[in-house]
Amino acid sequence: MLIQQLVNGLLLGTTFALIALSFNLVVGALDRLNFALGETAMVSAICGALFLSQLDVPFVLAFLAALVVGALIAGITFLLSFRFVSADYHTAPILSSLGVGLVLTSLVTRVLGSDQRRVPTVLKDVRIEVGPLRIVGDQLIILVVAALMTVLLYIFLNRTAWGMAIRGVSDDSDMTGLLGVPVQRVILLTFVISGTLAGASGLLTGLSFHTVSPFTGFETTLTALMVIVLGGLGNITGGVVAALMIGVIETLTVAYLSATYRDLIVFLLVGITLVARPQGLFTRNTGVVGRV
Amino acid sequence: MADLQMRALDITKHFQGVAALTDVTLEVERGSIHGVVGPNGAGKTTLLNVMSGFLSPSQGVVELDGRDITRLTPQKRVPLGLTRTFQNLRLFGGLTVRENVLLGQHSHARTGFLSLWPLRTAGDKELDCEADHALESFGLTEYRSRPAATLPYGLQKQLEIARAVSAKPRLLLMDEPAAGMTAQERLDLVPRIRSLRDEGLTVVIVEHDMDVIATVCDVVTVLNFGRSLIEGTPADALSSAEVRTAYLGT
Repeated sequence: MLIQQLVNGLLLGTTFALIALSFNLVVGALDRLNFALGETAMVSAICGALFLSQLDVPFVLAFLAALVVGALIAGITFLLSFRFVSADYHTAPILSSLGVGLVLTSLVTRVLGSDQRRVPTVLKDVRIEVGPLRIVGDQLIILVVAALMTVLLYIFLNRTAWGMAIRGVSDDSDMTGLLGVPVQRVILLTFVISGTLAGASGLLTGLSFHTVSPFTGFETTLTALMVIVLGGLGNITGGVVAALMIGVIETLTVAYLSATYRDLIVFLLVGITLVARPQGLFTRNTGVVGRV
Repeated sequence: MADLQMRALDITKHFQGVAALTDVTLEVERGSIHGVVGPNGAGKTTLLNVMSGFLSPSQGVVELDGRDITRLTPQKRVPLGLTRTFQNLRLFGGLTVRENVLLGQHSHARTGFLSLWPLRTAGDKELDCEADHALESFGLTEYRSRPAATLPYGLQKQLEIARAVSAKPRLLLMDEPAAGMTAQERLDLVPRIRSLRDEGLTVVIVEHDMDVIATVCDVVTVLNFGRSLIEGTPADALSSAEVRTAYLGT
Protein backbone atom coordinates (compact mmCIF):
# COMPACT_ATOMS: atom_id res chain seq x y z
CA MET A 1 0.00 0.00 0.00
CA LEU A 2 1.59 3.24 -1.15
CA ILE A 3 -0.27 5.47 1.28
CA GLN A 4 0.66 3.25 4.22
CA GLN A 5 4.32 3.38 3.16
CA LEU A 6 4.15 7.16 2.80
CA VAL A 7 2.81 7.49 6.33
CA ASN A 8 5.43 5.08 7.67
CA GLY A 9 8.08 7.12 5.89
CA LEU A 10 6.86 10.38 7.38
CA LEU A 11 6.87 8.81 10.84
CA LEU A 12 10.45 7.63 10.35
CA GLY A 13 11.21 11.14 9.12
CA THR A 14 9.99 12.74 12.34
CA THR A 15 12.71 10.96 14.33
CA PHE A 16 15.28 12.05 11.73
CA ALA A 17 13.94 15.58 12.10
CA LEU A 18 14.69 15.60 15.82
CA ILE A 19 18.29 14.49 15.37
CA ALA A 20 18.74 16.93 12.48
CA LEU A 21 17.40 19.76 14.66
CA SER A 22 19.86 18.68 17.26
CA PHE A 23 22.81 18.95 14.83
CA ASN A 24 21.58 22.19 13.31
CA LEU A 25 21.30 23.95 16.67
CA VAL A 26 24.98 23.34 17.32
CA VAL A 27 25.94 24.35 13.78
CA GLY A 28 24.05 27.58 14.36
CA ALA A 29 25.65 28.36 17.69
CA LEU A 30 29.25 27.45 16.94
CA ASP A 31 29.54 26.79 13.19
CA ARG A 32 30.78 23.36 14.18
CA LEU A 33 29.39 19.86 14.06
CA ASN A 34 29.15 17.82 17.22
CA PHE A 35 29.94 14.35 15.90
CA ALA A 36 29.13 12.73 19.22
CA LEU A 37 25.41 13.46 18.93
CA GLY A 38 24.65 10.13 17.25
CA GLU A 39 26.25 8.27 20.15
CA THR A 40 24.50 10.63 22.57
CA ALA A 41 21.20 9.53 21.07
CA MET A 42 22.25 5.89 21.35
CA VAL A 43 23.28 6.13 25.02
CA SER A 44 20.03 7.94 25.85
CA ALA A 45 18.04 5.25 24.06
CA ILE A 46 19.88 2.44 25.86
CA CYS A 47 19.31 4.11 29.22
CA GLY A 48 15.64 4.63 28.38
CA ALA A 49 15.30 1.01 27.31
CA LEU A 50 16.96 -0.22 30.51
CA PHE A 51 14.61 1.92 32.58
CA LEU A 52 11.68 0.37 30.74
CA SER A 53 12.79 -3.24 30.89
CA GLN A 54 14.70 -3.43 34.20
CA LEU A 55 12.83 -0.95 36.37
CA ASP A 56 9.52 -1.27 34.63
CA VAL A 57 8.81 2.46 34.86
CA PRO A 58 6.13 4.14 32.75
CA PHE A 59 7.25 5.24 29.28
CA VAL A 60 6.96 8.91 30.21
CA LEU A 61 9.58 8.52 32.96
CA ALA A 62 11.92 6.53 30.75
CA PHE A 63 11.54 9.18 28.07
CA LEU A 64 12.36 11.97 30.53
CA ALA A 65 15.38 9.97 31.70
CA ALA A 66 16.55 9.71 28.08
CA LEU A 67 16.22 13.49 27.70
CA VAL A 68 18.25 14.13 30.85
CA VAL A 69 20.97 11.66 29.81
CA GLY A 70 21.16 13.28 26.36
CA ALA A 71 21.37 16.77 27.86
CA LEU A 72 24.11 15.72 30.31
CA ILE A 73 26.23 14.00 27.67
CA ALA A 74 25.92 16.92 25.25
CA GLY A 75 26.87 19.36 28.00
CA ILE A 76 29.93 17.27 28.86
CA THR A 77 30.83 16.97 25.16
CA PHE A 78 30.77 20.76 24.92
CA LEU A 79 33.19 21.08 27.81
CA LEU A 80 35.48 18.28 26.60
CA SER A 81 35.55 18.91 22.86
CA PHE A 82 34.61 22.52 22.23
CA ARG A 83 34.91 24.89 25.16
CA PHE A 84 38.57 24.38 25.88
CA VAL A 85 39.72 23.12 22.49
CA SER A 86 41.45 25.80 20.47
CA ALA A 87 39.17 27.40 17.90
CA ASP A 88 42.20 28.04 15.68
CA TYR A 89 42.27 24.41 14.59
CA HIS A 90 39.01 23.88 12.78
CA THR A 91 39.36 20.13 12.75
CA ALA A 92 40.21 19.81 16.44
CA PRO A 93 36.65 20.00 17.81
CA ILE A 94 35.46 17.68 15.04
CA LEU A 95 38.04 15.00 15.82
CA SER A 96 37.61 15.51 19.53
CA SER A 97 33.84 15.03 19.36
CA LEU A 98 34.31 11.97 17.14
CA GLY A 99 36.54 10.67 19.93
CA VAL A 100 33.88 11.34 22.54
CA GLY A 101 31.50 9.30 20.37
CA LEU A 102 33.93 6.34 20.26
CA VAL A 103 34.44 6.52 24.01
CA LEU A 104 30.67 6.55 24.55
CA THR A 105 30.19 3.44 22.43
CA SER A 106 33.01 1.61 24.24
CA LEU A 107 31.74 2.69 27.63
CA VAL A 108 28.25 1.43 26.92
CA THR A 109 29.43 -1.93 25.58
CA ARG A 110 31.90 -2.38 28.47
CA VAL A 111 29.56 -1.38 31.24
CA LEU A 112 26.16 -2.46 29.97
CA GLY A 113 27.15 -5.11 27.48
CA SER A 114 26.82 -5.20 23.72
CA ASP A 115 23.35 -6.75 23.66
CA GLN A 116 20.52 -5.20 21.81
CA ARG A 117 17.92 -3.87 24.21
CA ARG A 118 14.23 -4.29 23.75
CA VAL A 119 11.85 -1.33 23.85
CA PRO A 120 8.44 -2.81 24.66
CA THR A 121 5.25 -1.61 23.02
CA VAL A 122 3.71 1.24 24.98
CA LEU A 123 0.20 1.66 23.67
CA LYS A 124 -0.93 -1.89 22.90
CA ASP A 125 -4.61 -1.33 22.35
CA VAL A 126 -4.60 1.90 20.41
CA ARG A 127 -4.75 1.87 16.67
CA ILE A 128 -6.28 4.09 14.06
CA GLU A 129 -7.60 2.61 10.85
CA VAL A 130 -8.72 4.81 8.01
CA GLY A 131 -9.62 2.60 5.08
CA PRO A 132 -6.48 0.61 4.32
CA LEU A 133 -4.30 2.94 6.40
CA ARG A 134 -3.24 1.68 9.81
CA ILE A 135 -1.41 3.66 12.48
CA VAL A 136 -0.54 1.90 15.72
CA GLY A 137 -0.32 3.51 19.15
CA ASP A 138 3.47 3.72 19.29
CA GLN A 139 3.58 5.47 15.94
CA LEU A 140 1.14 7.99 17.35
CA ILE A 141 3.40 8.57 20.33
CA ILE A 142 6.37 9.15 18.04
CA LEU A 143 4.43 11.55 15.88
CA VAL A 144 2.92 13.55 18.74
CA VAL A 145 6.10 13.75 20.82
CA ALA A 146 8.32 14.68 17.86
CA ALA A 147 5.87 17.33 16.68
CA LEU A 148 5.48 18.68 20.19
CA MET A 149 9.23 18.96 20.71
CA THR A 150 9.69 20.69 17.37
CA VAL A 151 6.96 23.21 18.17
CA LEU A 152 8.35 23.78 21.67
CA LEU A 153 11.78 24.40 20.19
CA TYR A 154 10.37 26.97 17.78
CA ILE A 155 8.54 28.73 20.60
CA PHE A 156 11.62 28.63 22.79
CA LEU A 157 13.84 30.09 20.07
CA ASN A 158 11.40 32.77 18.98
CA ARG A 159 9.54 33.80 22.10
CA THR A 160 11.92 33.62 25.04
CA ALA A 161 14.88 35.72 26.12
CA TRP A 162 17.17 32.70 26.05
CA GLY A 163 16.00 31.75 22.58
CA MET A 164 16.69 35.28 21.43
CA ALA A 165 20.19 35.04 22.86
CA ILE A 166 20.77 31.72 21.07
CA ARG A 167 19.72 33.29 17.78
CA GLY A 168 21.90 36.29 18.51
CA VAL A 169 24.93 34.09 19.17
CA SER A 170 24.26 32.10 16.03
CA ASP A 171 24.07 35.35 14.04
CA ASP A 172 27.20 37.04 15.43
CA SER A 173 28.62 35.67 18.66
CA ASP A 174 31.25 38.40 19.14
CA MET A 175 28.64 41.12 18.85
CA THR A 176 26.35 39.28 21.26
CA GLY A 177 29.18 39.21 23.75
CA LEU A 178 29.66 42.95 23.29
CA LEU A 179 26.07 43.46 24.39
CA GLY A 180 26.84 41.76 27.69
CA VAL A 181 25.37 38.34 26.91
CA PRO A 182 27.41 35.49 28.48
CA VAL A 183 28.15 33.78 25.18
CA GLN A 184 29.78 30.61 26.52
CA ARG A 185 26.82 29.95 28.79
CA VAL A 186 24.43 30.44 25.87
CA ILE A 187 26.45 27.96 23.81
CA LEU A 188 26.40 25.45 26.67
CA LEU A 189 22.63 25.87 26.81
CA THR A 190 22.44 25.26 23.07
CA PHE A 191 24.41 22.03 23.46
CA VAL A 192 22.17 20.89 26.30
CA ILE A 193 19.03 21.50 24.25
CA SER A 194 20.58 19.74 21.29
CA GLY A 195 21.41 16.78 23.53
CA THR A 196 17.81 16.69 24.75
CA LEU A 197 16.61 16.47 21.17
CA ALA A 198 19.16 13.75 20.40
CA GLY A 199 17.99 11.79 23.44
CA ALA A 200 14.37 12.09 22.35
CA SER A 201 15.25 11.01 18.84
CA GLY A 202 17.19 8.02 20.17
CA LEU A 203 14.43 6.60 22.33
CA LEU A 204 11.67 7.34 19.80
CA THR A 205 13.66 5.55 17.08
CA GLY A 206 14.09 2.67 19.52
CA LEU A 207 10.34 2.67 20.10
CA SER A 208 9.60 2.51 16.39
CA PHE A 209 11.87 -0.54 15.87
CA HIS A 210 11.26 -1.90 19.41
CA THR A 211 14.95 -2.44 19.78
CA VAL A 212 18.07 -0.41 20.54
CA SER A 213 21.61 -1.39 19.67
CA PRO A 214 24.78 0.12 21.15
CA PHE A 215 26.37 0.17 17.68
CA THR A 216 24.00 2.53 15.89
CA GLY A 217 25.58 5.75 17.13
CA PHE A 218 27.65 6.64 14.12
CA GLU A 219 24.94 5.48 11.74
CA THR A 220 22.63 8.03 13.36
CA THR A 221 25.26 10.72 12.91
CA LEU A 222 25.56 9.80 9.23
CA THR A 223 21.80 9.97 8.72
CA ALA A 224 21.69 13.34 10.45
CA LEU A 225 24.51 14.60 8.24
CA MET A 226 22.61 13.50 5.12
CA VAL A 227 19.55 15.34 6.36
CA ILE A 228 21.27 18.59 7.22
CA VAL A 229 23.25 18.64 3.98
CA LEU A 230 20.02 18.16 2.05
CA GLY A 231 18.14 20.73 4.11
CA GLY A 232 20.93 23.26 4.19
CA LEU A 233 23.49 23.40 6.98
CA GLY A 234 22.11 25.30 9.96
CA ASN A 235 18.72 25.77 8.28
CA ILE A 236 16.29 24.53 10.91
CA THR A 237 13.14 24.44 8.80
CA GLY A 238 15.00 22.99 5.81
CA GLY A 239 16.31 20.26 8.09
CA VAL A 240 12.82 19.24 9.17
CA VAL A 241 11.56 19.08 5.57
CA ALA A 242 14.64 17.14 4.41
CA ALA A 243 14.22 14.70 7.32
CA LEU A 244 10.64 13.90 6.32
CA MET A 245 11.78 13.54 2.70
CA ILE A 246 14.57 11.10 3.55
CA GLY A 247 12.23 9.14 5.81
CA VAL A 248 9.79 8.69 2.92
CA ILE A 249 12.52 7.87 0.40
CA GLU A 250 14.10 5.23 2.66
CA THR A 251 10.76 3.63 3.43
CA LEU A 252 9.67 3.55 -0.21
CA THR A 253 13.03 2.11 -1.28
CA VAL A 254 12.75 -0.70 1.23
CA ALA A 255 9.14 -1.37 0.27
CA TYR A 256 9.38 -1.28 -3.49
CA LEU A 257 13.04 -1.91 -4.41
CA SER A 258 15.20 -3.60 -1.84
CA ALA A 259 16.51 -2.89 1.62
CA THR A 260 20.06 -3.06 0.27
CA TYR A 261 19.46 0.05 -1.85
CA ARG A 262 18.15 2.08 1.08
CA ASP A 263 21.32 3.97 1.96
CA LEU A 264 22.62 3.98 -1.60
CA ILE A 265 19.73 6.04 -2.90
CA VAL A 266 19.93 8.55 -0.06
CA PHE A 267 23.71 8.88 -0.49
CA LEU A 268 23.26 9.40 -4.24
CA LEU A 269 20.67 12.08 -3.59
CA VAL A 270 22.98 13.85 -1.17
CA GLY A 271 25.90 13.52 -3.60
CA ILE A 272 23.85 15.14 -6.35
CA THR A 273 22.73 17.87 -3.95
CA LEU A 274 26.32 18.61 -2.98
CA VAL A 275 27.27 19.05 -6.63
CA ALA A 276 24.19 20.89 -7.84
CA ARG A 277 23.03 22.83 -4.79
CA PRO A 278 25.74 22.77 -2.14
CA GLN A 279 23.80 25.29 -0.06
CA GLY A 280 21.07 22.68 0.42
CA LEU A 281 17.72 22.18 -1.27
CA PHE A 282 15.87 24.60 0.95
CA THR A 283 18.36 27.38 1.53
CA ARG A 284 18.45 30.45 -0.62
CA ASN A 285 21.38 32.03 1.14
CA THR A 286 24.57 30.54 -0.31
CA GLY A 287 26.61 32.19 2.42
CA VAL A 288 25.79 29.45 4.87
CA VAL A 289 28.13 27.03 3.11
CA GLY A 290 31.10 29.18 3.96
CA ARG A 291 30.33 28.88 7.62
CA VAL A 292 31.59 25.44 8.42
CA MET B 1 40.45 70.98 35.99
CA ALA B 2 38.08 69.56 33.48
CA ASP B 3 36.04 66.49 34.37
CA LEU B 4 37.76 63.81 32.29
CA GLN B 5 35.71 60.71 31.57
CA MET B 6 38.03 58.92 29.22
CA ARG B 7 41.62 59.37 28.33
CA ALA B 8 43.81 57.70 25.74
CA LEU B 9 47.35 58.67 26.70
CA ASP B 10 50.32 58.63 24.33
CA ILE B 11 48.86 55.86 22.22
CA THR B 12 51.20 54.27 19.71
CA LYS B 13 50.06 51.42 17.51
CA HIS B 14 52.25 49.58 15.03
CA PHE B 15 51.00 47.11 12.47
CA GLN B 16 54.09 45.05 11.60
CA GLY B 17 56.35 48.07 11.47
CA VAL B 18 53.80 50.48 10.04
CA ALA B 19 52.94 53.13 12.59
CA ALA B 20 49.18 53.68 12.48
CA LEU B 21 49.24 55.91 15.56
CA THR B 22 52.16 57.74 17.14
CA ASP B 23 51.87 59.28 20.62
CA VAL B 24 48.24 60.27 20.20
CA THR B 25 46.50 61.61 23.27
CA LEU B 26 42.75 62.06 23.42
CA GLU B 27 41.03 63.49 26.46
CA VAL B 28 37.27 63.22 26.53
CA GLU B 29 35.37 65.49 28.87
CA ARG B 30 32.25 64.21 30.57
CA GLY B 31 29.10 65.30 28.79
CA SER B 32 30.85 66.47 25.65
CA ILE B 33 30.54 65.48 22.03
CA HIS B 34 34.09 64.89 20.92
CA GLY B 35 34.89 64.56 17.24
CA VAL B 36 37.89 62.80 15.75
CA VAL B 37 38.52 63.73 12.13
CA GLY B 38 41.26 63.32 9.61
CA PRO B 39 41.91 62.22 6.05
CA ASN B 40 41.78 58.56 5.04
CA GLY B 41 44.45 56.53 6.77
CA ALA B 42 44.96 59.09 9.52
CA GLY B 43 44.34 56.45 12.20
CA LYS B 44 40.85 57.47 13.29
CA THR B 45 39.37 53.99 13.35
CA THR B 46 42.55 52.53 14.84
CA LEU B 47 42.22 54.99 17.72
CA LEU B 48 38.58 54.03 18.20
CA ASN B 49 39.52 50.34 18.16
CA VAL B 50 42.15 50.96 20.83
CA MET B 51 39.66 52.90 22.96
CA SER B 52 36.98 50.23 22.68
CA GLY B 53 39.43 47.38 23.24
CA PHE B 54 39.38 45.73 19.82
CA LEU B 55 43.06 46.48 19.44
CA SER B 56 45.60 46.72 22.19
CA PRO B 57 48.04 49.59 21.75
CA SER B 58 51.75 48.98 21.24
CA GLN B 59 52.35 51.69 23.81
CA GLY B 60 50.17 53.96 25.86
CA VAL B 61 47.34 53.75 28.36
CA VAL B 62 43.58 53.89 28.04
CA GLU B 63 41.70 55.13 31.09
CA LEU B 64 37.98 55.27 31.85
CA ASP B 65 36.94 57.29 34.89
CA GLY B 66 40.54 57.23 36.04
CA ARG B 67 40.77 53.46 35.86
CA ASP B 68 43.33 51.79 33.59
CA ILE B 69 41.37 49.66 31.12
CA THR B 70 44.14 49.15 28.54
CA ARG B 71 44.13 45.37 28.92
CA LEU B 72 40.39 44.81 29.25
CA THR B 73 38.56 43.03 26.43
CA PRO B 74 35.75 44.95 24.71
CA GLN B 75 33.25 42.66 26.47
CA LYS B 76 34.60 43.70 29.87
CA ARG B 77 34.42 47.39 28.96
CA VAL B 78 30.68 47.26 28.24
CA PRO B 79 29.60 46.89 31.91
CA LEU B 80 31.87 49.86 32.73
CA GLY B 81 29.65 51.98 30.51
CA LEU B 82 31.64 51.97 27.27
CA THR B 83 29.84 50.93 24.08
CA ARG B 84 30.58 51.42 20.41
CA THR B 85 28.94 51.28 17.01
CA PHE B 86 30.57 49.96 13.87
CA GLN B 87 31.33 51.59 10.55
CA ASN B 88 30.33 48.37 8.83
CA LEU B 89 27.14 47.43 10.58
CA ARG B 90 27.12 44.55 13.02
CA LEU B 91 23.37 44.04 13.38
CA PHE B 92 21.71 40.68 13.95
CA GLY B 93 20.28 40.42 10.46
CA GLY B 94 17.97 37.51 11.21
CA LEU B 95 16.51 39.03 14.36
CA THR B 96 13.75 41.59 14.21
CA VAL B 97 14.43 45.27 14.75
CA ARG B 98 12.88 45.13 18.20
CA GLU B 99 14.83 42.00 19.17
CA ASN B 100 18.06 43.76 18.27
CA VAL B 101 17.21 46.48 20.77
CA LEU B 102 16.05 43.97 23.41
CA LEU B 103 19.33 42.09 23.11
CA GLY B 104 21.10 45.41 23.52
CA GLN B 105 19.38 45.80 26.88
CA HIS B 106 20.52 42.40 27.97
CA SER B 107 22.89 43.53 30.70
CA HIS B 108 19.98 45.32 32.36
CA ALA B 109 17.34 42.63 31.96
CA ARG B 110 16.40 40.72 35.07
CA THR B 111 15.87 37.55 33.05
CA GLY B 112 19.47 36.76 33.82
CA PHE B 113 21.15 33.69 32.46
CA LEU B 114 21.51 32.31 35.94
CA SER B 115 17.80 32.24 36.55
CA LEU B 116 15.94 29.25 35.24
CA TRP B 117 13.08 31.36 33.95
CA PRO B 118 13.59 32.01 30.26
CA LEU B 119 10.82 34.59 29.90
CA ARG B 120 11.20 38.24 30.64
CA THR B 121 9.91 38.99 34.13
CA ALA B 122 7.60 41.76 35.33
CA GLY B 123 10.58 43.98 36.04
CA ASP B 124 11.50 43.70 32.38
CA LYS B 125 8.21 45.30 31.33
CA GLU B 126 9.90 48.60 32.02
CA LEU B 127 12.67 47.59 29.64
CA ASP B 128 10.06 46.69 27.04
CA CYS B 129 8.74 50.22 27.30
CA GLU B 130 12.24 51.62 27.02
CA ALA B 131 12.86 49.50 23.93
CA ASP B 132 9.70 50.82 22.34
CA HIS B 133 10.72 54.33 23.31
CA ALA B 134 14.15 53.86 21.72
CA LEU B 135 12.55 52.54 18.55
CA GLU B 136 10.28 55.53 18.44
CA SER B 137 12.97 58.12 18.95
CA PHE B 138 15.02 56.60 16.14
CA GLY B 139 12.03 56.46 13.81
CA LEU B 140 11.95 52.65 13.74
CA THR B 141 8.57 51.88 15.29
CA GLU B 142 6.88 50.88 12.05
CA TYR B 143 9.72 48.44 11.25
CA ARG B 144 9.84 46.80 14.69
CA SER B 145 8.80 43.31 13.55
CA ARG B 146 10.93 43.23 10.40
CA PRO B 147 14.18 41.30 10.25
CA ALA B 148 16.95 43.87 10.64
CA ALA B 149 18.66 42.77 7.42
CA THR B 150 15.65 43.86 5.35
CA LEU B 151 15.86 47.51 6.42
CA PRO B 152 17.35 50.16 4.13
CA TYR B 153 20.95 50.99 4.98
CA GLY B 154 20.22 54.34 6.61
CA LEU B 155 17.68 52.78 8.97
CA GLN B 156 20.08 49.99 9.82
CA LYS B 157 22.54 52.66 10.92
CA GLN B 158 19.84 54.21 13.10
CA LEU B 159 19.07 50.79 14.55
CA GLU B 160 22.68 50.20 15.43
CA ILE B 161 22.75 53.46 17.37
CA ALA B 162 19.44 52.58 19.04
CA ARG B 163 20.82 49.19 20.08
CA ALA B 164 24.06 50.68 21.41
CA VAL B 165 22.11 53.25 23.41
CA SER B 166 19.80 50.66 24.93
CA ALA B 167 22.81 49.10 26.65
CA LYS B 168 22.71 52.38 28.63
CA PRO B 169 26.36 53.27 28.20
CA ARG B 170 27.84 56.37 29.76
CA LEU B 171 30.21 56.85 26.87
CA LEU B 172 29.37 55.96 23.29
CA LEU B 173 32.03 55.58 20.61
CA MET B 174 30.57 56.05 17.13
CA ASP B 175 32.53 54.89 14.10
CA GLU B 176 31.54 56.97 11.08
CA PRO B 177 27.83 57.17 11.85
CA ALA B 178 27.13 59.34 8.81
CA ALA B 179 28.92 57.13 6.27
CA GLY B 180 26.47 55.82 3.70
CA MET B 181 23.63 58.04 4.89
CA THR B 182 21.65 60.28 2.57
CA ALA B 183 21.84 64.04 3.00
CA GLN B 184 18.49 64.05 4.80
CA GLU B 185 19.52 61.23 7.14
CA ARG B 186 22.67 63.17 8.00
CA LEU B 187 20.55 66.16 8.91
CA ASP B 188 18.39 63.96 11.15
CA LEU B 189 21.46 62.47 12.78
CA VAL B 190 22.70 65.73 14.28
CA PRO B 191 19.73 66.42 16.62
CA ARG B 192 19.67 62.74 17.66
CA ILE B 193 23.29 62.82 18.75
CA ARG B 194 22.62 66.09 20.58
CA SER B 195 19.66 64.62 22.42
CA LEU B 196 21.79 61.63 23.47
CA ARG B 197 24.23 64.07 25.01
CA ASP B 198 21.37 65.96 26.68
CA GLU B 199 20.30 62.67 28.26
CA GLY B 200 23.70 62.51 29.92
CA LEU B 201 25.74 60.50 27.44
CA THR B 202 29.28 61.39 26.42
CA VAL B 203 29.83 60.81 22.71
CA VAL B 204 33.01 60.30 20.72
CA ILE B 205 32.47 60.44 16.98
CA VAL B 206 34.99 59.29 14.44
CA GLU B 207 33.81 60.81 11.22
CA HIS B 208 34.83 61.67 7.71
CA ASP B 209 31.99 64.08 7.11
CA MET B 210 33.12 67.58 8.12
CA ASP B 211 29.63 69.07 8.13
CA VAL B 212 28.37 66.63 10.75
CA ILE B 213 31.46 67.19 12.88
CA ALA B 214 31.30 70.96 12.59
CA THR B 215 27.62 71.11 13.59
CA VAL B 216 27.47 68.59 16.39
CA CYS B 217 30.83 68.53 18.17
CA ASP B 218 32.01 70.59 21.12
CA VAL B 219 35.63 69.58 20.69
CA VAL B 220 37.45 68.25 17.67
CA THR B 221 40.72 66.38 17.46
CA VAL B 222 42.32 66.28 14.03
CA LEU B 223 44.56 63.35 13.18
CA ASN B 224 46.93 63.15 10.25
CA PHE B 225 49.38 60.34 9.45
CA GLY B 226 48.76 58.83 12.87
CA ARG B 227 49.63 61.97 14.79
CA SER B 228 47.43 64.40 16.61
CA LEU B 229 47.50 67.63 14.62
CA ILE B 230 45.33 69.96 16.63
CA GLU B 231 42.56 69.96 19.19
CA GLY B 232 40.00 72.69 19.75
CA THR B 233 36.52 73.91 18.94
CA PRO B 234 35.29 72.87 15.49
CA ALA B 235 35.59 76.44 14.23
CA ASP B 236 39.18 76.80 15.38
CA ALA B 237 40.38 73.36 14.49
CA LEU B 238 38.88 73.09 11.05
CA SER B 239 39.99 76.54 9.96
CA SER B 240 43.58 76.18 11.07
CA ALA B 241 46.22 76.29 8.39
CA GLU B 242 47.67 72.88 9.30
CA VAL B 243 44.32 71.17 8.91
CA ARG B 244 43.69 72.80 5.58
CA THR B 245 47.07 71.59 4.43
CA ALA B 246 46.39 68.06 5.64
CA TYR B 247 43.05 67.91 3.88
CA LEU B 248 43.68 69.91 0.75
CA GLY B 249 47.35 69.22 0.38
CA THR B 250 48.22 72.84 -0.30
